[in-house]
Amino acid sequence: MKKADQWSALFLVFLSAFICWGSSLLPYGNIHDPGPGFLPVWLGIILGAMSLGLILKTTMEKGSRPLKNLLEEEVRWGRVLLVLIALFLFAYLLDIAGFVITTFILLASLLRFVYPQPWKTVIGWALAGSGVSYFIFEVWMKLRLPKGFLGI
Amino acid sequence: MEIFEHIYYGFGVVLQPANLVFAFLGAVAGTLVGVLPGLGPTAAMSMLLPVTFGMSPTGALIMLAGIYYGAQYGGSTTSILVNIPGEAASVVTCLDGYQMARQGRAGPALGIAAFSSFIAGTIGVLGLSFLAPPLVDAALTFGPPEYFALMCLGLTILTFLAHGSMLKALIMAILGLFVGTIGIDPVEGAQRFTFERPELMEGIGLVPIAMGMFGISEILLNIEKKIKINIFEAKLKGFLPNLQDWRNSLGAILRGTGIGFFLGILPGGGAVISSFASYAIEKRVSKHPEKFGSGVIEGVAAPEAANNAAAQGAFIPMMTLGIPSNVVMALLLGALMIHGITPGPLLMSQHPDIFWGLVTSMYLGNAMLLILNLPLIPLWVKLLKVPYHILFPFILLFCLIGVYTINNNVFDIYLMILFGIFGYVARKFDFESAPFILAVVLGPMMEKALRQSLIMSKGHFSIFATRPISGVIWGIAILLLVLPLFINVSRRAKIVRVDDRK
Repeated sequence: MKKADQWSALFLVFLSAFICWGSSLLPYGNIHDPGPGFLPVWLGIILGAMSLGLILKTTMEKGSRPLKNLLEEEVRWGRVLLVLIALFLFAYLLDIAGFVITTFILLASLLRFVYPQPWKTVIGWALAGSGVSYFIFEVWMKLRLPKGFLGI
Repeated sequence: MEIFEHIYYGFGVVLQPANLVFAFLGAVAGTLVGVLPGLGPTAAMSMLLPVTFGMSPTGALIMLAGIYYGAQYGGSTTSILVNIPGEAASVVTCLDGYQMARQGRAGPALGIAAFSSFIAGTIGVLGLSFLAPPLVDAALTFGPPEYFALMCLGLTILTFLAHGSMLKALIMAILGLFVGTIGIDPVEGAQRFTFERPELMEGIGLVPIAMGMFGISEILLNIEKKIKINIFEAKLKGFLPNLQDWRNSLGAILRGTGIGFFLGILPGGGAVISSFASYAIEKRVSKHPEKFGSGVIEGVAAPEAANNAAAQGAFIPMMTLGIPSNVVMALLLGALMIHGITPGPLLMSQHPDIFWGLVTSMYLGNAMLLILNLPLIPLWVKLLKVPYHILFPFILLFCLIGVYTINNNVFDIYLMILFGIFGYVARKFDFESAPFILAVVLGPMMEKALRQSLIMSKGHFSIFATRPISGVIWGIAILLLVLPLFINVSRRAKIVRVDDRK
């Protein structure tokens, strides 16, 4: 199990098993009148068969990419992780802190930590971004954005 | 002739001030998206989908269509000046366009790209106007088995033309079909994979999936590596191609238009494939094929014409059969369905304002783009200089606001992020997003058609083979599925492997 595709296919095998299990809890119906479980169960079976096929194909193939190569690519994983944390934080804080504050935090954190910028630039863009987007979406387009504890 | 009455009626719709503004906004946004590397038309359309919810269905479709064909125009600018295609369909334009720019002929290259796009787009729209009505008549005879077969063919062609492994593309299509089944079952009302979450009862919306898989994952892929853009600094002047340029390009434009329009109609085809195909054919028919790649104007004219004609041709199956031929059309279909309108053969008779309004908006849109593109090229070049580290937080913010405002629910944001992670990981492992999205959109329709077909035939699968149209369609689909086992597909894969590399 050294190749990247073997791991992705293995994950898909587990996923197909989950789909088959979940679908088995639904009425299957019959071939004359298929029930709600009919299509998902067959999709699970086909997915499982294809994933096993992918494992087999990758195992037999010589040129398949090793997982090690994928992990050792010149990738800035830190940036990806930072963006994801900022996105989850935005989703978590939106209803609590309101749109303006959450947007300011999101923009400031992305500008400061992903491609580090001077604080002056960070604060300037984050203030402008949260203010202008509030004006466009809340005031002009009249979209209902969450207010949060400060009422903005 | 009746067709001219329809076109006249369409102009009446599109010339309403609001629709004119939507066509203009769509064309500008599309050009902008096409110009900016790292943001394709699919991502932009998914980001702008929520904005269209408050519009009339006609206005929404006019604007989204404008983004699509506008992006085909804008993509050429970055290909020629920066050697970075703004979107996938402009990859081929880099080959000769950038070389022309290096030889001091950036102006004529940009000019011929705009003119050939305009000519092809206009011919494409004419083709759409004339071909759609007879196709609608044919489609009215289709029943659930034919629809099921057609949708399966669409997915098969898309996976057959996949950038890499066909098996992986098929896996993504199956996963997409599964995601399409989540929610309340349309026939019996049973909950499927909802985990008792009320937000999942109506299924997972197209917008969080599309924004996640195209918007968020594209940004994650862009920030993980360093993007460096070197803009060609030569002074831009003389956008009008000279007489010799026209002589060299005219045949290429017409051939590119024909190829693009035809490939655009085919399910699974589209602007990317047609631009590659037209370049290859142009090289074959040329008297000096060895010069291709060194800055010949035909090498810019043909693919630019093809990708625009394909963009128009792709509307035919979506508007007449209700079947999207590519992922962009799937998004447009999703937009229409959000407005409670089901595209298909009845669209033309039940909603002529939408059908003919859209068709004629493309005539106007193409003219607007020609007027826009040439004088605004220096502005687009300036925009290219906005650093990505300033741009990407705002693209993310736009995605977040867009997805939140659909239902005013944070759950949709979480879904978008999760699909963003899924799309990112899938692309790292060389699994494509396009078959997944197309399958998500087609899934519920396919299930309904399958179940109706089986009820019609009392459980006999032979209904798909015994009905002539369905039988032929299945024959083609099976042939495409089996074909890769017998031929070496590596060359094909190499030609089309462009989109996810962006």
